[in-house]
Amino acid sequence: MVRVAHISDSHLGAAMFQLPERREDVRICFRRAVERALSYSPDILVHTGDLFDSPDPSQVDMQVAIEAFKAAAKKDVMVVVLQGNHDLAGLRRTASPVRTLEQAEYVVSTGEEQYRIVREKIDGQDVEMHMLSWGPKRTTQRLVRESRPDGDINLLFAHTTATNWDSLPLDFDYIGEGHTHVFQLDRYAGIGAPGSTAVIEWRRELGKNRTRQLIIVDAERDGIEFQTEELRDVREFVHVYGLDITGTSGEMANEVIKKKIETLPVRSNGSIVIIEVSGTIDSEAESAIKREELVEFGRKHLNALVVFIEPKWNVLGPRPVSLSRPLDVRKSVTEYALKTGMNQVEELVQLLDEIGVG
Amino acid sequence: MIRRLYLEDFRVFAGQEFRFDDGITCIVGPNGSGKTTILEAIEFALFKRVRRKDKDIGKLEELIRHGRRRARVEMEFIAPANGRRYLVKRTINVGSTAAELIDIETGETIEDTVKRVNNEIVRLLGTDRDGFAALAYVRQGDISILSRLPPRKKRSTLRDMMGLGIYDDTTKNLKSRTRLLEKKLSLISQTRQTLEEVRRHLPSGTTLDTALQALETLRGQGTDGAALEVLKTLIDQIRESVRTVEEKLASEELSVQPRLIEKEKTLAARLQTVLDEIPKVAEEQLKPRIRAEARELFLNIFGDKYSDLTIDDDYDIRLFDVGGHPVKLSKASGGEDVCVNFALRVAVNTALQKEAQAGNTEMLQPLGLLILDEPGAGLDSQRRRWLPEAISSLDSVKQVIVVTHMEELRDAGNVVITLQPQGYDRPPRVIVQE
Repeated sequence: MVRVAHISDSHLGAAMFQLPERREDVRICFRRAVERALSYSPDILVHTGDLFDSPDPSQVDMQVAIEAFKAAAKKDVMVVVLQGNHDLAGLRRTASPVRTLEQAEYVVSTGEEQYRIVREKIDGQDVEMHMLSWGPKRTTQRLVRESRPDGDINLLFAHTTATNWDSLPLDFDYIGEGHTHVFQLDRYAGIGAPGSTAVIEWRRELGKNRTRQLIIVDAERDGIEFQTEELRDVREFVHVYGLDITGTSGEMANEVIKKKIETLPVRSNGSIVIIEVSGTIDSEAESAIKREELVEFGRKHLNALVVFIEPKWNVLGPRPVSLSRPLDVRKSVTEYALKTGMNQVEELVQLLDEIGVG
Repeated sequence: MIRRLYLEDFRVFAGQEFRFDDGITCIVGPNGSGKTTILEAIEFALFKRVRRKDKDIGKLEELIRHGRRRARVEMEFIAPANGRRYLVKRTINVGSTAAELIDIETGETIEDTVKRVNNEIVRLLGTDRDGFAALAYVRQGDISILSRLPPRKKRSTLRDMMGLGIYDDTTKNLKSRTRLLEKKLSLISQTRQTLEEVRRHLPSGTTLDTALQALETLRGQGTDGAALEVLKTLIDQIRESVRTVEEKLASEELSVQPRLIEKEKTLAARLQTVLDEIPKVAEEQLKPRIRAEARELFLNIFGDKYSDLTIDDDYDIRLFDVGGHPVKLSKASGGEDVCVNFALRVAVNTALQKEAQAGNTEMLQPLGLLILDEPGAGLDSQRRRWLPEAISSLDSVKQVIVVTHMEELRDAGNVVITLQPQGYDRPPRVIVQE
């Protein structure tokens, strides 16, 4: 049996809202994810890319990565790390910092290439690992399409396959990818994405049924089994969506949002509260919304690190007339004149024709 | 929309073909490598004009490669109006140009004079050059000036970007028409005044009758017949003059015409109010969409620092930071400024194109094309890395062409065309990567 622990997208160096607290959180989350992964005693620990948030990580982040992987080496775990779009600048214009880790033999990666196959004998089985780092979309899709595995157990690890899961090749026992930041697992097809190790971009990672998990894969010649364990962010996130302020005046909107803040079930200090406010208001109401006061109130009341009000509302003008083709002068003049009940519309258009449009 | 471009002796290119596909094409090269020439060739192929640094270039001959006498451009494109493929061929000779438009599916030449080709292309695109520039072309220059303009100018610039400048142009036509009417009217009233003045100085009909009677009395008293004839002729002449003046004053030109002109003036004034109102209505219709698009794009790149981008009724653009504090654009950093402008510019395009696609309104045929000229200007290296993603997210637009000297933007392209200068007058080397 071959056991693979799969994590992804740690984005060491990322700092949500430019907060140093979050930079530190991201490191802690990564350390924990590796710890949790190692506790399952895997043969292979795979990190499917975007280990670092930028191609030029800080010394601290590099050290965090090295220490985590050293711990894996101590336990004889093979560490595979792919190069993601965040740690590569341009299309392989500069080397990824993952190369540095690879050259120091902390990890196995794809080197200077995008695609690399590594064969290992594990538990008496020929294990073929196809590794696919970040690259241009079409090349990536072609590499996936043309991969021809030939081991006892075949694994494909990609930062992204850039391919729909229905169209992925069937020859692999497990295909693991990253990049999406959201956990997804098809146990039947043997395809998984663990999501990120911490909350990096809340807009795509928070929401109903969106989690981050550690995926443990047990692959044998005649089958595959999965275990998962949720990777919770060290910081509490409270995400409110669907707060509707349609038709309210600015003051009413302030009240609605304030009331919502007062009733939020926030458990810990220093949490991050995100409130999406939707609906349709007019621009007068919008300018009357006191965002800074609401944020201040929320931070104090909830003892939060961040209260973020996400304005998802639409702002509409007061006019009742709408034009079907605003850039067609002749048509618009006719429509406007008719809708506002003008007479002599024909003469108006005739005059327009005489003077010429534009 | 654009499929193939062939340049022969056009500026730096001696004989070069470029293929374009849907998706994102990045043209990357150092300054002066011929990137902009490709854009100029597209503009030239479609409209026979080339604008460089906001000015039309004077003589098209300037586009001919040094030492040659003729330049040729061929471009294949799919017309938004009907989805058919066309080939436009244009030649520049010293002192003249020629053009031909071919329907690729039938192989027939549809038009073969410059003027008719120009008109037909405008019809096929559903927009003229200004509309095309507003919809498809995001230039470096436009990007950076916007936020520094005073509100009124900002408004009119944004209006132009939305293609609503057409109403200003129509207003101009209308105003010159109104001026013409006023001139006519004042000419008529001047003539009338002069005639009335003259009439006042002429004797009235009764005075002349009295004079004639006096003459007859003199004749009865045996006055010299020849002398009397002289006086009679004079009186008749005066009577004739009076008649002419009176006729003129009563003529249609001086009595009916002014009323008609007044009527037309009222109509023109009414049309003027309509033309003033429509852009405002259109703006309000488009603004929420534009704002939503601009916001998304801007927060893609600056989402860690800002929470919102708003455009208020006076077209003042404001940012809100994460803490909810409003930040005036003039107080934002240069990179943020550039980014807002970029976002707005692109948003106008995508909003218009989305509006058309959604079929809510049959606003415009979407061109399905967006050309970004140096979109990363002013951004730090960290944020430039977000740009490829921001550009990739422009999926409402079928075809995006990015021209840049920034290597990192390669990442955004499905196809990357690299231009390498070769020194002297040699054409650049062109490398295409998928």
